[in-house]
Amino acid sequence: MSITVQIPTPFRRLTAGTPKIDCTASNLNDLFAALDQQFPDLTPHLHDESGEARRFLNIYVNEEDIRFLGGASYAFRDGDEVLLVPSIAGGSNQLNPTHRKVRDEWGTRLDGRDRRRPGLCRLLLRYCLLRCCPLRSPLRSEDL
Amino acid sequence: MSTYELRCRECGKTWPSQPRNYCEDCFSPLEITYDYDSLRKTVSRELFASRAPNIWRYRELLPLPAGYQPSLPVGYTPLVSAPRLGEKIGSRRLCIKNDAVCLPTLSFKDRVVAVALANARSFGFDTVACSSTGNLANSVAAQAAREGFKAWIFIPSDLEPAKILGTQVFGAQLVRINGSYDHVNRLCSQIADERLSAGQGWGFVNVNLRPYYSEGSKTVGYEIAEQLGWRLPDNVVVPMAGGSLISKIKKAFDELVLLGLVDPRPVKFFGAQASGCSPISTAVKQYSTEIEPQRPKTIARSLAIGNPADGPYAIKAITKSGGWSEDVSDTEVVESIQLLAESEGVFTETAGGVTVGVARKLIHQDRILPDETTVLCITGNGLKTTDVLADAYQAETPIAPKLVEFEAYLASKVGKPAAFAGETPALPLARKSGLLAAEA
Repeated sequence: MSITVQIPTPFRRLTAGTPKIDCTASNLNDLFAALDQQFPDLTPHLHDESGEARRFLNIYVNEEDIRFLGGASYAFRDGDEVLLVPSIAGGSNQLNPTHRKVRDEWGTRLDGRDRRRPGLCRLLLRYCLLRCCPLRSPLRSEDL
Repeated sequence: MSTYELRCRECGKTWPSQPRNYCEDCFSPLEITYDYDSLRKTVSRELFASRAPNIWRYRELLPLPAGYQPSLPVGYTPLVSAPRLGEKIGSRRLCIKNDAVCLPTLSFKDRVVAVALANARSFGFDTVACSSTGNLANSVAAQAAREGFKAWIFIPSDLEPAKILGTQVFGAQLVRINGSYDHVNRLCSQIADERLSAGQGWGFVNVNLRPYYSEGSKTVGYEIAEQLGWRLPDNVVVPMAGGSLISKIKKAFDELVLLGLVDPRPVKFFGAQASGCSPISTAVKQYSTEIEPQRPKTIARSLAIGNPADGPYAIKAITKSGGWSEDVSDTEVVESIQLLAESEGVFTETAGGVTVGVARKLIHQDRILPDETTVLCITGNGLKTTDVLADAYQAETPIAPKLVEFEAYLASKVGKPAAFAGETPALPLARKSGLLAAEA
């Protein structure tokens, strides 16, 4: 079984100008392993340390985005044409997707929840706290 | 004209002005940066206000080659208050930035193409090209004709007939592709690549000229600020396809603050998408920073980009500002087009319906409050997408030119409040969908 991998111009600087390779990889991980071996400089642009494809790298198999075909679980078929296209969007790959920010650096809630008006209970509670708090007014009327 | 250069948005490496859209080192996108220190000394509100009302009045803040003489008055579209729409959707300070009347081809894309073509000539291209969902196709074709470029336009084959005709009429070479916009876009990046290596480069406005092209979007932001009396609004609602416009309006506001032309003020950015193609709003709603590509299925074909190039930057602009993103169904898109037309006399295309529908949703969710100044960006003209309204109206039976016939006709219409009692047909529909439940 053999598949063809097309290498786009931006990457060819790292593949000594090779525009296209044939290989026998049976899935995406195999393909990365083959490319890593042949073009070690390309590695950091293809996948991270855990072997996960870079988010800004689009991989197409016969015109279709591999993410729609099952991603890493897709088994290549004989004659498949694989195309690597850097999406030139970047940005998101450095961020850890499991860490979901709730507030931004100024403390504003990102989901906008702090924009809701406080309810009646909360208003009453605030009022009571303000009335009872001795710190609010060190000088009371009975002191005068 | 000002001093500017290309800068990698991730690693910060800089390049002199050239037709290039990615960084050689990290393959991240490039954008234009300016020498803001010297700009602060040269630009002022009075300088901009003294010039003709078009995008070129902000020429110091655009990447234009030295000595460039613009020939078209692009942009400076009306910013109008929308009290009737505001009353219906629950905002007391609602404005519409109406790019449905942007010249020359009635969409905001005229701005980006004008800046891209200004540079295409100085880079020595005689042919310009683009991948498009329609509006960009119209604009590249028209402005290429005006400026004497050959134009190659690549579109998905299922585009609205008006947008196809509106490209062909300018004599552009139209290539219809069997596939979605994302397929067309991928093909175009391959073509740009191959032609460049073959030494017969084309100026693809949204590939190798993309950094210049996207700077044109900033003019929407400058105009909003100037038309509000050099003030920033509280909220901006922007339709999102590739996600470029929303981050460029943010850049425009940031630059105006940096140059001391407006007072700093927290502006919330709200992104609008159609539910049938909502990779960016889905990511925002899941508190994710990554785009999961989608297969588009919506009538809002000008927003049908399943793998948006500037998606991560749009997400950043929205979440950092404390804004939000929502999406609306195709039915709501059509209702919203009617709602805007009936309440403000503005006929927008499906993307504008998405913006109005999402604004209504955000107000209902209390994410946009009634007394905040809110600007809705209407980016295209309804005459280009009339097919989506084909089933909305029936052809009336004609009557004879006789008074008695009209009296009979009038009698038959009495008791139908939709046409005569001043109530708009869009409202009952909206109530039915539960969006105006609070009002009902």
